[in-house]
Amino acid sequence: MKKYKVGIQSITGCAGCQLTIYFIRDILLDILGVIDLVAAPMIKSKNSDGPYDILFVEGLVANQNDKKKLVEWRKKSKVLIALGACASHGCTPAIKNFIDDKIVHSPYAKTNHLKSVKPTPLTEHVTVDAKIVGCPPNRDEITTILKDVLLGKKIRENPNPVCHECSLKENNCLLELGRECMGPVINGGCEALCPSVNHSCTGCRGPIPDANIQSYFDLLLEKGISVELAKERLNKYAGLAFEKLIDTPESREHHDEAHCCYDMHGIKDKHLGE
Amino acid sequence: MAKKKTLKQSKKITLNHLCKVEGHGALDLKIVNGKVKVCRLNAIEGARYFEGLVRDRLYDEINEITSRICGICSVAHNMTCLKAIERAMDVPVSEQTQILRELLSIAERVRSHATHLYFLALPDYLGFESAIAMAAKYKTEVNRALQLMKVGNVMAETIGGREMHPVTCIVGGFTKVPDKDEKKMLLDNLKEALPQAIKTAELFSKIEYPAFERECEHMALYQDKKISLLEGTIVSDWGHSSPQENYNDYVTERLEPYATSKFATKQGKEYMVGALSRLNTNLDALSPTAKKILLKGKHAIPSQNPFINNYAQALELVHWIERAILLLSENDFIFEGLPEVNVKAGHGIAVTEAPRGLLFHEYEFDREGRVIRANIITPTAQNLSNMEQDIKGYVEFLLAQQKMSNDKLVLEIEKLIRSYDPCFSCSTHFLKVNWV
Repeated sequence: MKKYKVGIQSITGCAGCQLTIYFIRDILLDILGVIDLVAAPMIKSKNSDGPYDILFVEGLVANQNDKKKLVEWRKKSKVLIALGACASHGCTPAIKNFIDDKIVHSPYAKTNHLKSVKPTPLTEHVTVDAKIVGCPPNRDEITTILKDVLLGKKIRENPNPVCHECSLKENNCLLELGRECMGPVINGGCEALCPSVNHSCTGCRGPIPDANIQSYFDLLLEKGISVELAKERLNKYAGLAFEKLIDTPESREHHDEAHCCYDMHGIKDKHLGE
Repeated sequence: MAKKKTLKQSKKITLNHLCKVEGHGALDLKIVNGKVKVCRLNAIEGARYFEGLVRDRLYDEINEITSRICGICSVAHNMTCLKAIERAMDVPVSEQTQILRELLSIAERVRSHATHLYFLALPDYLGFESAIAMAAKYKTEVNRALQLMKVGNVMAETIGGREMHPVTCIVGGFTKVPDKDEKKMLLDNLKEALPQAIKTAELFSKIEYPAFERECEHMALYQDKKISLLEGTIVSDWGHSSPQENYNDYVTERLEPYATSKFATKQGKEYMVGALSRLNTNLDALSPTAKKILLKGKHAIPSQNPFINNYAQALELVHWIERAILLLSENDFIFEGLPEVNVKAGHGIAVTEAPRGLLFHEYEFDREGRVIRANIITPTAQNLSNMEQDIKGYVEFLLAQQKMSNDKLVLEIEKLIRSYDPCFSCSTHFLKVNWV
């Protein structure tokens, strides 16, 4: 059987998502046995520039070089998979998009050479065939998606929020206990990892496609949890995605009705509280 | 005997993407008549500005954000950040929390060292391009690597909730602690892994490292009778000794126009951090089993040879697995409830030993508990200048002995860079933010 040419490449990021692949337990060598890993600079010296049948790309576009590489890789890949939260949603480096320019620009005084660009996920620059969300992604999800692609199956996206998986596990609901939790609006597929260890969901898998942010805020209000703080937290892993979700005609209408500001720029923003 | 004729080679080498390291590094080298005229080691990733990203954010999510600086040492960033926050706000921490943090850090150390030793360093010495290519002939070694990585990862997941970017560790304590069954499982795993760690140390004791030495200062945290992990004073093998809080007096950082990383030096002079520095400054504290391997092996520590850092990591594997077995055997864990934090303004500094060496986190908070200022110095930012000097010295050392093809020379340079276990993800993104 012809082995598919697979690559694992990265642009600006923390290398954690690639490591999650190399940390796959018990079956790593079996997986590597059925594919032809032609490029994986983190663990290989000899790396092909393409073409690739399947290419995993970790990280986000944070400079011109990242963008150039990504566009090249897209041209050379049949299936391009965004690996992890940076690639899918921008993750923490994209918080930069929501901070006052004065703070962000202060380091540039001495560092014009950096040629920094707006830190953005892959989807802002190229079409991706699949996203494996999460910071870091779930290793079982990586193997499932890889298997699906190898078998020519349609890639399945998880349709449920974290809350769904949390209730299946019969966890105590943290919101019911008056604690912050983003479970209602965040993509599941993590088996409610954080609430299962008594920690709030902080949103590393990004919003579900039809997340109703207003009803999430209403719920927080009902439980006596700070909505202001919850708004601030939205930009931690997927600020750009939440921004898009919020900026729809419906939400704008709702926004006017509720006199509620969904501004993502944090509490220091002058619009807040107006 | 006729005097050996010195070979004078000139060449220009540009490595655009160093492989088998964490993150993206590049090297520019210009050699004229066997002398290195230009040696620039740079991180080529985009800047991520973590110190700027955390500004104005609430204290309770800072460790979660700074964890994202690095996948392979996310525990180290978490622990250091938490300790700095706790110092800033005088948050008391129980003995159990300290023990669990040490265990979580050991878990990361084991998987980090195992990954580096077998996947990034060993293929060079066995003549393979990767551990995967090595697997057919060296199946036992590759399986051993995978077992050690798994032991570390299962331990990190059991204690931290997730193998990377842990979630249970929060300001003041833990949201969940391992129960009796989990503790037993970890102990069984570690006891099974110990012989594999010993074999790893023996393997790295037999490797022929290049006979290159260059005197430099080795800095590490120091505690009496204990290899430091999360506590200690900063010492060096050149007699330096100072408390953690004074690091700003002598650690200075500079930017180079060619790199996105900061270069940290000690008053302008390069120094080395990491496993070799830890052992060079505190060899007595090494566990008896690891010491026995060191005495039997052919390489000596303390050492001025940077390649010996690989060996020091392998010895640490044995040391830390033994330490974890001891800690788990002696302790049971009971959930102490969620910690309460009296939020207040303050300033806190914490220095720890990450797998790759000294890690500094410093924060200033306002009375609401929001970050006013942050400063983070990673191990690789400290090692970069020393690596440049070592590359320069090693290239001249090699070219003085023999004529070398570019390919061979590049491999030797890469071997040297990898021996430091650099993390370019960590080293970048730490531009000094001039707070306005």
